[in-house]
Amino acid sequence: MKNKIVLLLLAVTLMGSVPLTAYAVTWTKDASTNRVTLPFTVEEEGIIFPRPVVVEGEWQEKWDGTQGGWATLNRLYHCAVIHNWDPIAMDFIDEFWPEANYNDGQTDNWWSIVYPYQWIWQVSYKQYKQGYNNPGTYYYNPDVTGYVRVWAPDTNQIYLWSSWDWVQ
Amino acid sequence: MLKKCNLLLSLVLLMSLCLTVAAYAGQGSINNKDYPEIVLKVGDKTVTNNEFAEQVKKVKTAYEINNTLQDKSYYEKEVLKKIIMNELIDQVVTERGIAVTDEESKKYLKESIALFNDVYKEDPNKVFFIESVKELGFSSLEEYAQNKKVLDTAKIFLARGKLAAEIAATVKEPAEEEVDEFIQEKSKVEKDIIEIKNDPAAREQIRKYLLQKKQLKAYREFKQELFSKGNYEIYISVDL
Repeated sequence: MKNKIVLLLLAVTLMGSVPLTAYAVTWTKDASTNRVTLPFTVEEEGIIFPRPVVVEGEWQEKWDGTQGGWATLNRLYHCAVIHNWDPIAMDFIDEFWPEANYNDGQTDNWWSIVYPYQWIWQVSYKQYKQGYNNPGTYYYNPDVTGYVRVWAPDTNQIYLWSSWDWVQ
Repeated sequence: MLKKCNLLLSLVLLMSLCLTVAAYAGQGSINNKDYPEIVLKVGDKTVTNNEFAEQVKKVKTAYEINNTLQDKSYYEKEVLKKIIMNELIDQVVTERGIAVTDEESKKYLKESIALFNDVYKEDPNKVFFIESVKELGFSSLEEYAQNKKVLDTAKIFLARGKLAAEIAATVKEPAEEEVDEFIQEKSKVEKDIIEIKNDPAAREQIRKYLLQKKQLKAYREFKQELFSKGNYEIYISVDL
């Protein structure tokens, strides 16, 4: 009887700590506020000028809930958007190498999705549907990191990286 | 006797190793004496060996920082193309009467510095920028952003941007069929294809993306044509 109470208390504690997002039937995380400035610079007649590029991470995920309070990641849409904040067209090439790292919340194991192709310029969140289904894996308190790399050949740095973290 | 032979052999091996290392190190080194006094003439601009070597070193450093090492001739080509291209573009800017006002230059510097302020202070690129400003003798970014020489020099690359924007404005919006083709090509799952095709917001994003791609292509073609017809003379052996 005592053991049963302990188990019940443990179950309540566990269930109580499950964030709402984890057992929602669908959950989307829109990272539209995650704007990052990449501080490129250019040189003109010996003077260094700032040439910032603003990159915004867009991230949406669909999770399917289960009765146990766990969620399974069903589909992920992710991309990065370059904002030309000034009207001047800069001759830069964007190379997106997004990488998502998930912790399953149960073990120390991290599960990683690396998009196998280069992403493209000014992609929207719906242009690429990196759909995948991994029904055997459940995630709890997912911790996600996305990376983007921008190549700007006319600048002093050439490459700059940006990353976003979303911890639920 | 055997000991002496071994010693001699060791010395020979050491010397050959030193020579190999020295030869390898020398292969990528950049020295102004490697170039003739005048390296390039384009328009009214003359580039000396000192200026050229300095630029090549900077490009090399940029690639080294990014762990994307290239051959020395690669950096030389990059520098030559950049100087020629900028000069040819500046000529077109003058011909078309494109001008940047003091207000536009001030606004650009104010906004771009504000964006740099968002970057964390230890960022090496931000540090590099702030150090460069100090090296020029400015006590603050505000002083730098209000300096006449800085403002006038900024107008040079801002005018190039205006030219790029003029060319971009001549590009037509992509047709609906092009949007459909793109969705079909990029999406793997039939269900997704139908969903995206029927989503007006997604179509709008794709349309914008395709337009920007076309604009970038048009600008690159313009630059390519300018480059192929441009009047310049290179005094070093390089195949651009």
